[in-house]
Amino acid sequence: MNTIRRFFDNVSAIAVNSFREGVRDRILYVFIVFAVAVIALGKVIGWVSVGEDIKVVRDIGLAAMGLFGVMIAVFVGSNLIHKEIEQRTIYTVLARPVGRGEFVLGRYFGLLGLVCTLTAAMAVFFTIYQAILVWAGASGLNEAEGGAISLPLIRVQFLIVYQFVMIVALAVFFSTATTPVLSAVFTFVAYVLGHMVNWIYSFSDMMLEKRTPTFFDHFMSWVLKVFYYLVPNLETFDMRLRAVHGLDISNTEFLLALLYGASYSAMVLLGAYLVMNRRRL
Amino acid sequence: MIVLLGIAVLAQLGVVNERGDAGIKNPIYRKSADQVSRAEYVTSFGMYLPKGEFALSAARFLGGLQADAYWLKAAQYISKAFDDPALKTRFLGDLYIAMIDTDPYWSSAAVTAVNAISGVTTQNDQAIQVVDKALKARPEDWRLWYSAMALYLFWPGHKAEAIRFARMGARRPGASVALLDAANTLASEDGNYRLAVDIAKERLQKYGLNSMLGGIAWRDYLEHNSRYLQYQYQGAIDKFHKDKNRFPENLDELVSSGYITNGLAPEPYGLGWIYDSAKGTIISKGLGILDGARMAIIIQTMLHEYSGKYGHMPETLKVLFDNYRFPESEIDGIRYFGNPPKLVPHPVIGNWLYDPNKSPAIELPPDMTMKYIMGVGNKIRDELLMGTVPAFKKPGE
Repeated sequence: MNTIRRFFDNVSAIAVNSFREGVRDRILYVFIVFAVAVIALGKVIGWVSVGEDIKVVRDIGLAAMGLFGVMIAVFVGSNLIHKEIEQRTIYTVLARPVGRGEFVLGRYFGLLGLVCTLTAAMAVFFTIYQAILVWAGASGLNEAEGGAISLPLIRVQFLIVYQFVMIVALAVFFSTATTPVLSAVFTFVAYVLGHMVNWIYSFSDMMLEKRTPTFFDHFMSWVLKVFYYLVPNLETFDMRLRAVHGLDISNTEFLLALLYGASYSAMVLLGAYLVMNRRRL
Repeated sequence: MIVLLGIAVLAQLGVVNERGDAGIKNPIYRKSADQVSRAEYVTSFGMYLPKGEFALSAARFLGGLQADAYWLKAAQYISKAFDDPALKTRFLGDLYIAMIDTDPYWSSAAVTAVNAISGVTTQNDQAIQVVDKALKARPEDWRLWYSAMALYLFWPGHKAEAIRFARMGARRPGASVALLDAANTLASEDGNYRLAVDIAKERLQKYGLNSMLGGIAWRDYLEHNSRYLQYQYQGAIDKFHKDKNRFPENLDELVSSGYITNGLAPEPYGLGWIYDSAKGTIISKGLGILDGARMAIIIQTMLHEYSGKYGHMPETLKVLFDNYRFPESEIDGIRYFGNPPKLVPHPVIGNWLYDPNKSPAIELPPDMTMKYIMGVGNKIRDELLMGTVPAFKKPGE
């Protein structure tokens, strides 16, 4: 019992400290300002959208939330653990009765809290902004599907925020294993590939659709299939196309997405712990 | 991890090289004999769309923005004047198809796209692709069914599809009354009275007998059912005549000889069948009254035009029809499209009661007027609502 309590105390202390440290980073505020500007300026594109203002504003807003959220995760997360190792500040932490796993978890939750808080702030701004536009009759020729504030829209914003559970886990993992630059690149590439997974899977099938597939085709098909399962399937969380039109997301889909995110993150964090454990500090 | 990523990137670069223009049909890069060059196109329109299936997939994290880009581009295309109109025709449909591929739930845009493609181009097959993809994603949206119906409606030789889409769309929640009304009109114009009866019954079930729309549907049901039965029985008489070289003495002989199965259905208006054994013709009395009343209205209008043109009423109706010309202006009255109308006897009473000195010049007996036959239909409807007569049956039952 004391062990568990101490575990939670250590993790939470590191998490809170990571959060406070991250909040002081001024680059985040630049991202936030840019994100808010992009969301607000979506209406400008909406003016030339021939009666589909709200749809365009929603698309831009949701895309901005996802993109800026991952940029925050990449910029802060890529340097998360590596910086501590380089500056030797990690020793002061590990000198105490704090395990490497607790350190990794604490850093993870700290960064996750930071990214989720900032993305949630964007989400609140987006929701209020597009609701005002709808109420002000900005829909043009077509009514805003689902109304000003709809459950599907709220759910999809939650899922956008939730997908960072996986992205931040990957950022932490890469941060333990590589340099900040590579960590940033890998995290961002994982984000992009995460949205291409369905195409990766279908392409692996296409490799075998030739009249006489070669050994290379079979090998590449197998590699791509493995790759498909390794890459985080962010399409699981991407229900924007439906939510923008006010179409509901089923509870089953929603809960399965949450479960997938949690389990994938747990695996990645386990990998980060193993890497961290093997590092000579 | 680095090795795997490297392999993935190389594989996908290979996709770009191998599939390139053969990927997603990006209209800017499609090759054809009279295609303008890529450089010229980018310069002309200044909006650059990513090329190939790989690039489009890579932009999936942007969500619906891809579809928005296609939508905006299509708006540019519609408004832009092309030196070669064939280019507009070719690319507009492709843009909309790409748009609906990337966001199949965007049904309002799909509706606009269908109207734009069919209005600007003659590529109805592209419009069909757009609406088909949208319907797969959102079959509950009645506007898509309506768009498809409208598309087929103005596409020669596709009336059956228009009726089908209208009926299916009418079953969707919130569907406009125009769908079933359009299906009803199409079926009756086509002479498919059996189908028109089924559609009228759908309308009755949808609106309820005790409603304004239900009243209109009930009126149509009576008329279409009468025409359908009349057509069926006339066919049976013609077949009897062909087999036996004479007309049946009466309708019972037609039934007993097996040319009408399941017995003779009651005349829908309850006024009976009128059979002429000499000529071998059968009419529904109710339908005859209705058609006669309509003809009377047409003749009255023609008389009004004639008197306005010549300053006096024609001596006889034959003179009226012989001298009838299309109105010189729209102010003169109803325009008749197609062939000029012909003088036919009243379906029930035969000769028209025409007196040029009276007003109205065409006189109909009280039990031959539109008001009378409408009243008959309403009486049956009221009895149905009160449950004093059995509900309507299928034609022939």
